[in-house]
Amino acid sequence: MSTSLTIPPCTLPPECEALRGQVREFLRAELPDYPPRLRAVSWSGFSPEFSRKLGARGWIGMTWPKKYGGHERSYLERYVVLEELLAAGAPCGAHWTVDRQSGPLLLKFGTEEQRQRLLPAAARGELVFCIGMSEPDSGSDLASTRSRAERVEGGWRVNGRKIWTSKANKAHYMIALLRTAKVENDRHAGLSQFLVDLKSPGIHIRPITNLVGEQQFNEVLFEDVLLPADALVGGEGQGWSQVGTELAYERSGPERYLTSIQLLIQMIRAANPGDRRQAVALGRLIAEARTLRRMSLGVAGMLARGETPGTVAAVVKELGTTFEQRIPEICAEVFEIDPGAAGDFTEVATYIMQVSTSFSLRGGTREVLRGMIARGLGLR
Amino acid sequence: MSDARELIAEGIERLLGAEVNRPLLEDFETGRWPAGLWAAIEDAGYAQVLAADGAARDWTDAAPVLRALGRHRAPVPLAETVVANWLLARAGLPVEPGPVTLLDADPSVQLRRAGTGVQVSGVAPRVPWARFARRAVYGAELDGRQVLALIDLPEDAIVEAGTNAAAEPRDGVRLDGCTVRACAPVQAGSASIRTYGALARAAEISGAIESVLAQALQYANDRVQFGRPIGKFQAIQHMLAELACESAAANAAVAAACEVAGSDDDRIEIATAKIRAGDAAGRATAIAHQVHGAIGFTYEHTLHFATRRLWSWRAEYGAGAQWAAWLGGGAVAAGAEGFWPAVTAR
Repeated sequence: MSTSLTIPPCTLPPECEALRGQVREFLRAELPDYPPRLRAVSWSGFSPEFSRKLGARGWIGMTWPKKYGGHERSYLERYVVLEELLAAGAPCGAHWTVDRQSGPLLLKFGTEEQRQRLLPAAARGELVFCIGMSEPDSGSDLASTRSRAERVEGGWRVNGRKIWTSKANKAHYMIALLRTAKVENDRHAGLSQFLVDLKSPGIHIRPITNLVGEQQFNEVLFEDVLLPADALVGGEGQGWSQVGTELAYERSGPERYLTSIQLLIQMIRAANPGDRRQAVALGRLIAEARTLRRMSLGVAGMLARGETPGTVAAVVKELGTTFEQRIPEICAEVFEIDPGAAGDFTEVATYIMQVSTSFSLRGGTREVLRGMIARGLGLR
Repeated sequence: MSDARELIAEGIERLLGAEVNRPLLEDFETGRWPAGLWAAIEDAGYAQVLAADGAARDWTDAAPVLRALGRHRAPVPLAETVVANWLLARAGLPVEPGPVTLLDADPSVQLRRAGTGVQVSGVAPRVPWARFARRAVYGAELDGRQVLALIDLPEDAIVEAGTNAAAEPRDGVRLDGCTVRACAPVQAGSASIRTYGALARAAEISGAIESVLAQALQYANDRVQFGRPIGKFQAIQHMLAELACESAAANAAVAAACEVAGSDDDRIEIATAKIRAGDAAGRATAIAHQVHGAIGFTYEHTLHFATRRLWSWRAEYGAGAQWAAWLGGGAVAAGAEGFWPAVTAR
């Protein structure tokens, strides 16, 4: 029996390194005095202004066709831009979702009209999307989705409730997973995806304050919301398989290991050069960062070649979020920070210590991912 | 993968799969040298996998050999010999048949000029496989220059017979009076036995982890409790998923290091590989034994041939903490601004 989980190496072509230099230069110019505590918010940081500047440089929707406002760059070029933005802690929240998954979803399953209407503005960094998947009774068990869309004269009527929807309070559109039919003995059938204009009457959005006081996620209530017939994205009843494709985008990027990186950078800055205990702790974390970067880039290479990473993408997210959560733990142990005290280092550490608990929840919990890996190993 | 590399990978896999089994491993642990296995390996050319063609091959070619050694728990000094022959070939020193061992840097072991020749002195502790190796390679300073020395080891040089936790010989060697057969200048750092020994061990570790993952998966599918294979229980599935993650990480770190090994600035990747593979070894052994239950704790079961090697190898040529102190200390000295550019340098 041979079990070899290997990710093929990926070497970045020279044009990627030229691009990396441009991104670094841009970030130095745009975020010269951006405080560490704000950098620590990472890709949840929300700045429509910054997103528009990035769009103007052609760094949103990079791989999309030019006729939809994209730039027809390679997946690997996009990867380099993403990792540089993450390493700098740039505020990318306003465009992150559409760039990562809603845009690709519309390109793959959307109608021509949807693409032409939305993608050019999205690529300019002007449109904020959110993802309506979880519900009060449907967390990891997404197939139990109950919010429903019924066919009515001229379109669809939506009723139900979505929850933990990041950025819904700031978004223009939601891609919602809704039940369009109840099929006996097949929970995965009868689900469909819809493009929802969040200004539609009957939508009530209530921000939910998280444990550090931020209002990033929301509850979204649908009360007899009427959607036009062409709000359906992809095939009626094809929602489950479409969501699977979308989650693969969501799970495999460099944001799955770099979210706590500002704290590691602060730890390197704060370390006492003679302190061996700190050096050992940092060396271990740096070894992990380097290994994860290699693995993450390898998965990007697989996606660029049109391969389906499957199990190894789940492996990278699982290892990546574990790493993101280990950084504040090791920091607490060897740097003896005093949570809540003033100063860049302590503020970053205090923040990441608290928010990193969510990193193994969003985008598929650790338990769901381990289940996927186990299936890949032939255990389920 | 190149054709040559694929041939090497398939060949060593076939050879070790046929030759290494429980009787051989048990015999070895009673002190018997597996002469037939070694002869087969040398005949097939694997001892010179890095030294052939004027050392033109690279570590990516050697990786399948080292990983297969770990996967099959092969009880021979092939990793040491592959590294030694590579260092000898690169230094222009003679490469000959037979096992060769590596002398890790040790301040008590010194080279000095004596007339037209060179003499070695001191006692080297815990030398891998010394009792079965007739030659050793040592890197040290001579007249203020870095050199690589090829030293003959007569039988009476072995002054203390020891082993690691996997019964692999780790012997004390008295070098006073041993003949330094050849000596050649090398670029500083390019012939570091500590560094390349660490990479060889990291590669062996990654192979051994693959084998314990395969064994644990097989056991989880076969062993029935509460009316079903234990692999159907979520608790077991999650442990095995974690083991698979550790295996994938060790593989990735080793592959990254093998790609650059032998170039001027390969130490960061090699340190990363030794640290990461060593950390993976700790989790992998714990999980594999937990999944196997009591049977995996017996001598009769073969799991320990891998796990005892993993516990030993992660400590050899610098434990994780030693390499991490070097890697972390270097990062602190280079400054926080240098961290990300270094990660993305290649």
